[in-house]
Amino acid sequence: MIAYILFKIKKYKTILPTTIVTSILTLIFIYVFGVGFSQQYIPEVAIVDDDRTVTSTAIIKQLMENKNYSFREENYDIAKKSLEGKKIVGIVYFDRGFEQSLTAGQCKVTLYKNGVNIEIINLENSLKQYISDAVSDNSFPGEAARYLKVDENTIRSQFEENRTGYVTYQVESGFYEKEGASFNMFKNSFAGFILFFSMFTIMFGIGSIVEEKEVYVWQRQMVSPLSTATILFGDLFSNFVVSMLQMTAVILLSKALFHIEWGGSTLAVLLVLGAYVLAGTALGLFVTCFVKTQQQLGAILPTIIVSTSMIGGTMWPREVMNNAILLNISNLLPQRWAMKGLLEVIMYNGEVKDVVLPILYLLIITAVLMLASLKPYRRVA
Amino acid sequence: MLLLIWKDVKNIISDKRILTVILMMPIILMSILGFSLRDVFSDEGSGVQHFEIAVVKEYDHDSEIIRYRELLDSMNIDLADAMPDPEEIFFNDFLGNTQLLQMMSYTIVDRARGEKLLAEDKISALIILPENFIFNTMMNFTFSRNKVTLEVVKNSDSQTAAGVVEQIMGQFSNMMNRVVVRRITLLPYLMDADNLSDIPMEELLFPSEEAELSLAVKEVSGKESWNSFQYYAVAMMAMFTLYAAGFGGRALIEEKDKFTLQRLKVAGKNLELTVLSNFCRVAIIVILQSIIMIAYSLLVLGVDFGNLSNMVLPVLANAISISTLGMLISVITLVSGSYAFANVFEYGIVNLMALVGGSFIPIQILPKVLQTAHLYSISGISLDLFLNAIAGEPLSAHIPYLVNLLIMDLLFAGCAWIILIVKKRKGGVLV
Repeated sequence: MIAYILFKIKKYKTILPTTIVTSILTLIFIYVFGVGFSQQYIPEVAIVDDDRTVTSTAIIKQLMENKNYSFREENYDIAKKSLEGKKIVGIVYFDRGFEQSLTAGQCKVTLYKNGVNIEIINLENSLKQYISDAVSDNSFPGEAARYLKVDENTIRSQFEENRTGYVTYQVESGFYEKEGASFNMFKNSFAGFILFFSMFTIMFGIGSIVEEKEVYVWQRQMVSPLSTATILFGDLFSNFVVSMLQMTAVILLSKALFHIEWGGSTLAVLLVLGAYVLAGTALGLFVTCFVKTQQQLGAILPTIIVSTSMIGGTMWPREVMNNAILLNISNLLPQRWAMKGLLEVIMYNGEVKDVVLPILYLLIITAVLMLASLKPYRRVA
Repeated sequence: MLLLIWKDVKNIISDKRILTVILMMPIILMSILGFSLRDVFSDEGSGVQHFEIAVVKEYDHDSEIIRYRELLDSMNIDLADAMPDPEEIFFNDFLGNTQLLQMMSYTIVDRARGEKLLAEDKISALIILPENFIFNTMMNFTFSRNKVTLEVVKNSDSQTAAGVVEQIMGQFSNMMNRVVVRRITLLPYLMDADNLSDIPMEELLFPSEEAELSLAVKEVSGKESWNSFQYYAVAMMAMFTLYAAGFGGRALIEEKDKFTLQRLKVAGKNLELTVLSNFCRVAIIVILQSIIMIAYSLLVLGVDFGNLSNMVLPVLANAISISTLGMLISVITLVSGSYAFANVFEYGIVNLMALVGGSFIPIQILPKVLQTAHLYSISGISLDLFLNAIAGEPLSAHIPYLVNLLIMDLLFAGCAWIILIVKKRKGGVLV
C-alpha cells in the first residue's frame, strides 16, 4: 500500500507544471478578491438639478450628506459622458417643475443608469427612501410654522442644526455567538472562488486515473494482487497529499505576498481545506468510474464542478435559492460544507471547534463516495 | 476538407457520452441558474426568500406607560394621551406593513427561546427591544432625549435575510430619530403655544410621504437595457462555450494517440487541414450549444432576447473566436505531446477568462484593472456583443467588438501556424 502511494505521488511530477500554473492562477484570484477589493469602494453618483428651486437645492444638499454614495452636482452633458464611460453608476435628475410637482402630489425625479449592476440596484432601492425623507423634512418647517404661527426660516435653521446633531435611536447588530464579526461580501466571494477553483485542481489530479485507463495500466492494476480498496485509497491519499501541499503553499504564499487575512485559525482553515480535498477527490474518483477517455472527462468535469459549486453556495448565498430540491441537494455537496467551514474561520474568526461539524459532513461525503466508487471499479476488475 | 469535417462531426455523434454532456451541459446549468435564482432576477423579487424572525420584548409595557404618565402628571403636562403607543408603532405600523409581511414573518419570544431558534437555524435574526423602550420612546416623543439601543442578533447562515433585517431596523431607527429631531425643534414653540390641543402633534412629528414618489429609471442611452436574468443567460453562454475550446484542444492529441493523425497523413491529408477541420468541429459545437442555450432560456426560463435575428452575428463571431482559440490550444497540446496545456486551459484559464469577462460577477464591480482586461477576453467581448444584441443596438455598435475579436482570431491563428511550422522544421509533429 505504502509503495503504491509513493509510486502515485512520484507520478505527480509529470503534472508538476500544470499544478504550478493552477496554483499561480489561484493566487491571481486571491489577489483579485483579497487585495483588489480591499480598498473601500464608494460608488459615485451625479446629481443634475434642472429645477433650480429652493426645494430641489435643499433636497440635493441632504443627498450630498449621504455616506453610502459619493453624490456630486454636475450638468447633464458632463454627467451623461461620465455615465457612458462608466465612471459613475448613475445620474439623479431633478426635472424642471420638480418643486411644482410636489404641490400637485407628485415627484419628478429620474434615475439614469447604464446597464445593470449591483450598485444601481441598491441605489434604486435606497434613493426613493432618501428622496422621500428629504422631501418630507423639507416641508416640515413650513407646516410647523403654519400651525405654530412663527417664522418658517427660524424653524428651518433650527431644524437643520438639530438634524445633524442628534442620534437618539441606534441599532447594534452582530452575529449569534460570533462576537465582533461582521459580514464581508468580498470575503464571502473570496472563499467561494477559492473553493470553486481548487475543485478544478483536485479533480484534475484524480483525472490521471482516466489516462491510466486509456493505456490499460488501471485494468492491469485491477487484476494485480492489490485490492480495489487499496488502489482507490492509494489514489485518494496521494491526491490528498499533493493537493494539500499545493493548498498550503497557496495559503502561505498569499499570506506572505499579499498579506491576506485568513481569519481566526490557520489550522482550522487547513483542516477544512483538507476535508474538502478528500471529499473533492472522492467525488473525482466517483466520476472517473463512468468515463473512459480524457475527452469525456474534459467534457463532464466543468459541468459537474460548476453546477455543484453554484448549488453549494460558492457563487451566491444558498439562502437566495428558492427551490427546495436544490437546497436539499446542496446539503449533499462538498462545496456547501467547505464554504460553511471556511466562512466560520475567515469571516467569523472561528477556531477548530467551530469547524468540527462541516468537517464531519465532508468526511461523511468522502466515505459515501468512496464506497459508491468501489462497486463500479470491482465490476471493471 | 468537407470529408474531414464530416469525419469529426461523426466522431462527436458516435461518442454518445460526449454528445450528451456537450448538449446537456448548458441545459443543466441554465436550469440551476433559472430555478434557483428566479426570484433574485425578477424585478419584483427582494433577492431573499420569505424568512422568519423573532422579537424579544425586554420592556414591561404596562408598568412603563404608568411610569411615564405619573411623571407627566407630576409635572402638570397634559400630553400623555396625545402621543401614540410605541408598541403599536413598532408592531402595527412598522412590522405590520404589508410589504414587510410579504418578506418576513415574526414571532414574539423571550431571549432564551430566541437564541435557541437562532442556534437551530429556525430564524434569520432576533430583534431585541430593550428594557425601558416604551418609557424612553414616550419621553422622546414629549420633552426628553433618552438613548435607545435596538439590538439585532443575526444568523450567520442567513446572511442576506439577516442583512435585510438589519437594514429594516436601520430604517426604523432613522424614522424615530427624525421624530426626535422634529420634537426638539418644536419644543420651545410648544412651550409658548396658547392652545396645545389645536396642534396636530402626531401629524407634525411623524414624517409622512408628502408626495407619491415616482422614481423613473431610464437608460442613459435612451434605449431599453437588459435585466439581470438576460445578463446571466448570456454570461453563462459566453462562459460555457469557452469549454468547447478546451474540448477541441484535446482532439488532436487524442487522434495522435489513437494513430488517426498518422493514418490521415498516410492518406495524403496534411496536418494543417486536420487542424482546420478541428476548428470547424469546435465552431459547430459552439453554435449548437448557443442555439440550445438561447432556445432553452427563451422557452423554459422566459428570457427575452428581443429580436432573435440580432443574436446571429454575435453567436457566429463568438463561435469563430472560440474555435480559433481551440485551434491554438490543440496545436500547443499536440506539439507538447501532453494533455497538460489543454487541462490548464480548461481548469484554470477558462475560469480566469470568465471572471474577467464578467460571467461570474458583473464587470462594473470588479477592480479597475480587471475592467480593462475585460476588453481582451473573448468571453468579455462576446458578452458585450450579446448584450448589445439584446438591447437592439445597430450593427455599427458591434463593430469595435468585432474588430477586437478579429485581432484576437488573427493572433491565435498566427501563433498556431508559427508553432506548427517551427515544429515541422524541427522534425515533425507526429513523431
